[in-house]
Formats: sequence, C-alpha cells, structure tokens
Amino acid sequence: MIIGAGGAGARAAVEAARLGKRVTLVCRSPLGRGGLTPTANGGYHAAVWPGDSPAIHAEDLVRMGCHVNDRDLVRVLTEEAVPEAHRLEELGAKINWDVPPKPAEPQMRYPRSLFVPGKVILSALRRHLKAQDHVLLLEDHLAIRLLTRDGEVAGAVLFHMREGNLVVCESKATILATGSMGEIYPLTAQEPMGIPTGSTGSGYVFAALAGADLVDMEMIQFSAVPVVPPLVQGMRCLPWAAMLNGQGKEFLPSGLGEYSHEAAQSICRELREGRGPVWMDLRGQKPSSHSRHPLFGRRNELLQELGVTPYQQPVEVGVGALFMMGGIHINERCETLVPRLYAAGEVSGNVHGARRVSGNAFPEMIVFGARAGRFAAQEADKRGGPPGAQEDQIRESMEALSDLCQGRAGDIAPREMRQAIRQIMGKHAHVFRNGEGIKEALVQLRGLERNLPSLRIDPVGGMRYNPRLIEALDVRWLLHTAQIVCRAALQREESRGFHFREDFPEARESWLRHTVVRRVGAEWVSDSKPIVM
Amino acid sequence: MEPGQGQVCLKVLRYNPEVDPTPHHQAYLVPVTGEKMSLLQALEHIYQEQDDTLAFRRYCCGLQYCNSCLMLINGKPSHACLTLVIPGTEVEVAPLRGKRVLRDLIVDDS
Repeated sequence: MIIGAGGAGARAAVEAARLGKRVTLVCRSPLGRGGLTPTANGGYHAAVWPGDSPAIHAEDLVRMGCHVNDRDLVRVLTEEAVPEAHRLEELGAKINWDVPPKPAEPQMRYPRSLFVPGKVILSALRRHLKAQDHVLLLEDHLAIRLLTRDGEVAGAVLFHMREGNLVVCESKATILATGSMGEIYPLTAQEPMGIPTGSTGSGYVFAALAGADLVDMEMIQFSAVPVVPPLVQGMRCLPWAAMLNGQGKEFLPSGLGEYSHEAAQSICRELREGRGPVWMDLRGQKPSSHSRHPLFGRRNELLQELGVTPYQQPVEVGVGALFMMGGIHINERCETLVPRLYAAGEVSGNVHGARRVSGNAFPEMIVFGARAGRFAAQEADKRGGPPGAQEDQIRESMEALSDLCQGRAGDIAPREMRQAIRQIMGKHAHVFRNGEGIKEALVQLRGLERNLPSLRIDPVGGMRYNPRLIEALDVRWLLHTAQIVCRAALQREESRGFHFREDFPEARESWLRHTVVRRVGAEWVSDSKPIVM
Repeated sequence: MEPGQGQVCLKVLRYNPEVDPTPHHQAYLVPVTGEKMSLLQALEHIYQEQDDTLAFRRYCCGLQYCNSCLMLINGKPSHACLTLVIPGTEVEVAPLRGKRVLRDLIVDDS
C-alpha cells in the first residue's frame, strides 16, 4: 500500500506494479488533482552539463545544505537523477533536456535544470497506473492512522470521503508519500490562491506514532510569496525579481539566490523593522523561457490581461513556507526505523539538510519514489502475508470517528483551530526563532490540543464530504506537526541554514547532527543523532 | 439579496444527498478584496468567514489544468480559479451537470 499519490507515491506504485505486486494507491483527491506535485514549477536537476558529474552535484547539495545532509542519500539522488529522468520519459513524461546556461542558484557550480512540469509527470504515471489491473486506486480516501502489530506496520485505516465510511487496508509493506506541511503557517507557497493543498503533515505524524524517527523538523525553507493581489497569492511560479522595500530601495545583497535562507531573512528583517511593505518588481524584464511553457500559457495570458504579474506592476510579497527539508528518517532503501514502513519524497527527512537547492525536490521525489516501490516490493516478496490488523486499533478509529460525528456540538469550529495554529506558528516559530518564543508556542499548542474534544462538527451534516469533519481530521495533523516543529527547533541550539535562533545566532561544530523528534507515551520528545558521512 | 458596494452575491446551488430532499439555492454576499478576486477565492472566503458547511473541492493547482474547480458558473462549465468576480453583480454557481452530486459543488469524478 502506498499512501499519497503525488509524484513520489505514483512513481512508487508504478515500480511496485512493474515488479508484479498488487498495489493499493491511496489518494485524498482524484489522482492528479491534489497535493503539491501539480502546482510545482517543473525544474528537475541532474548532472548533464559538460564537466558536471553526480559527485559535483552532490558536493553542491551538501555545501548548500550546510553539511547536515546524509551523504548516502545525496549520493543516491545525484547518481540516479539522470537514469530516472530517462525512465520518466519511457513512461511518457516529456522532458526538456535543453538546460538553460545560467545555474538556477548562484552557489551551484553547473547549470542542471531539466524541465518537466509536475502535471506532465502525474499524467504519464496516471495513464500507466490506470492500464494495470493489479493496481487498486483509492481516490477520495483520507488516511487517518497506520495499523501496527508487534512493532511492525500492518496497514492503515482510511476514511472514504465519497461514501463517508471507514476502510481498513492491510498490507505486507506500506509506503508513506504524503508530502509536506506548509499549512501550519499563515502564509505558504503550498496554497496557490490561498487554497489549501492538503499539506497538513499527516505522514510525519503517522510515522512517528508508529515508532519512526523524525529528523531535522526545524528545517523549513521559507521564500518570498505574493500576498496581494489575491490572484497571485501563494503562487510560486513567479521568477526571481528585484525586491524593493517600502522606501523603494533594493535591499537584498546580490548573489544570494532566490531560495536562500539569507534572502528569506533579509525580507523578514525589512518587514519587522518597519521598512515594509516589500515588493517584487519585474517591470522591464521578459518572462523566462520556462514560464512560457504551454502548460503555464493560459494562466500567464489571463494574468497579463489582468495586469497582476510583476512584469506589469510590483507585487507585494511576504515570507511563506515553501518546503520541508526534515521528515521521516530513511536509509538508501527508503526504510524507516519501523519494519515494513517506507517513506519517499518530501515526507522523508535526511536528504536536503538545512537548505534545499531549487530543482532538487523533483529528483528526490522520482529517485526515492522508484526506490521505495522497488524495496517495498522486495519486502513483500520475502514475507508470507501481512502481519494482520489488530481489532482494538480498528475499533479505536471507529469510535474516534463516531465520537466526532455523533451529537458532537462543541463550540470551536475546526477552521478556527486551524487559524489559531497558524497564528501561533507565524508568531513564534517562523524565520526568526528564540527559545522563549518556541516554549510559548508549545504551551499554546498544548492548550489547543486540550480543546480538541470541543470541536464542532455538523451533527446533521452526514458523513459524505462533510467539510467540518474533514477539517477536524486535518487539524489534528496540523496540531501535532506544529508541536513537532517546535520541539525540533528548541533542540537545535544553533543557527544553520533555514533554522535561525536569535539566542544562538552562530553555527556550531557540535551540531553537525540531526535533531530527532519521536513519540514517547503521550509526549513529543527531542534528541539528536549523527549524520551519515 | 442585493450586493452592496464592493460586494458580489454568490447564489450557490446546495444539496446534501444524505439529508436534503431536493437541492436549494443559498445566497452569500462576499466582499471583493483587492482589485480582483477569483470565484474560487470567493468560495474559500465563504468557507473561512461565513459558512464552513459549504462543500467544494478545496484545491487549486494554479494552472487551470487540474479541473478540481470545474463547476457551472452562470450556467456554463468553467474553472472557478480563474473566473473573476465583479463587484455589484450576482453569480449563479452550481455543480457540473451529468455527474452524481456528492455534496454541494462536489461531484463524483471517478
């Protein structure tokens, strides 16, 4: 079973199916109409430029990741990025191999930007999966917990939103490919037009509750995100531009790169020191070749018509969550610390270190997606059958759901709790952090957790696609993920990459380590462990 | 319901097959923030600020390609994400025709 059907999950499904396995692919939306993959720009970095090599690509990722990436995973990513791009083409996703000569970020030694929009990848993988009769596609199914037996993962409980009932799925091996968690912040590039993508952090919570380690959950990439006008709010398909502050002055030192922590910190500094608002200004420049891709054409035309692109008038930006570097600790085979549980894509944790280099989320998604499918299939070969679900865990889920739905008329709307979580994280655990603020955030989040029983669900609204019920399920993952991020941020008493502690403003040699957050009893506890050199 | 200055009136066809005998219209007044706002953002505004029982596929790829927000807008199948709402007007919003309505604006795409 694979939970999550963005690029990583769909790629894993193709691989496991190719190896003859019966595959169940769980997707909270119709396939291809959810998650972050369809919203992504399309940069796929691989070492194809004359003189470049996987080893040089790997060195760039580790140096720019501030040396806390696991080297084995970086080696796999950079070595397999090119062959996996060829396989994607064989599967029907057309890739533009015509790499623009300017490196995507100034600190990179070679240009590496192959181009293939996420939508193109998903369409190809979807066509392939639909043609297989041993692939069961469970669309409109929201995973709500993993099932375990004797410390192994035995399957999952799913909520079928279309029918309003619970589905138990047992499996010999389970892959989590549930993506990111940007929705814990008030502004995020994971919400085009301000509409959520389901990036709630559920996979981190499922894995940790089953006994997996989460590493480097404090490492969240923030970037400039348009706030107004509404039509481009949350959009990240905008190219880099001159940044002007409220006095009309350019304030970013040159040579930083648009997705660097220094850029995010500079913009935050302007805003909090009263020199805002900050504007992205592209007047007089030409749209880049990638933004002229046919896929973006119609939207660009409309935005041009409306005069809301930064080529025509400056666009006001804030700083929003873009990418989670941390996540579930995996090895080269995508195994977590929990037997029979695998993870791939953004939900995994130890690839990008303290800064993700742009264009490297796609090769991570595809390379590790394929690997997770392959190694999970091998695991299934070795095992006679699934461990078997435990009745008491299924009963727990049923009772929790009927508790939520029947006669529950509390006084807190789930959407209000979601907004409260986002305000807390925006105030205390954003780009600039300090111990006092993070502790305050943890106190407030625990307060919200105590209010979970007072959530208001529409008692006569029924179970099918009940928006309050879905929000009430989502808000639990947001609440846990927010606490996990705070625990990790408190643990790392230094500043490195995207983690900036005002009370520990320097990087420390002793922190060339991963932070770890795990579940112990009813608590999130933090620790650290060495990186793989 | 008349839209006031800077407002748009959305007349949404609502139907919850689990409890409603028939579909019915519900009107919402939404302030148009900034100069321009899409219909999808107006629906999100209703969900966040006025009525969190309104069901629509809350997703946007931003590229008008995922078709999550296809619905009947003034009787015509259109993308809500890139349909602009104009202050002072009334817009009729309904689920796509010919598919089973799961709830309000969500149809069965399987």
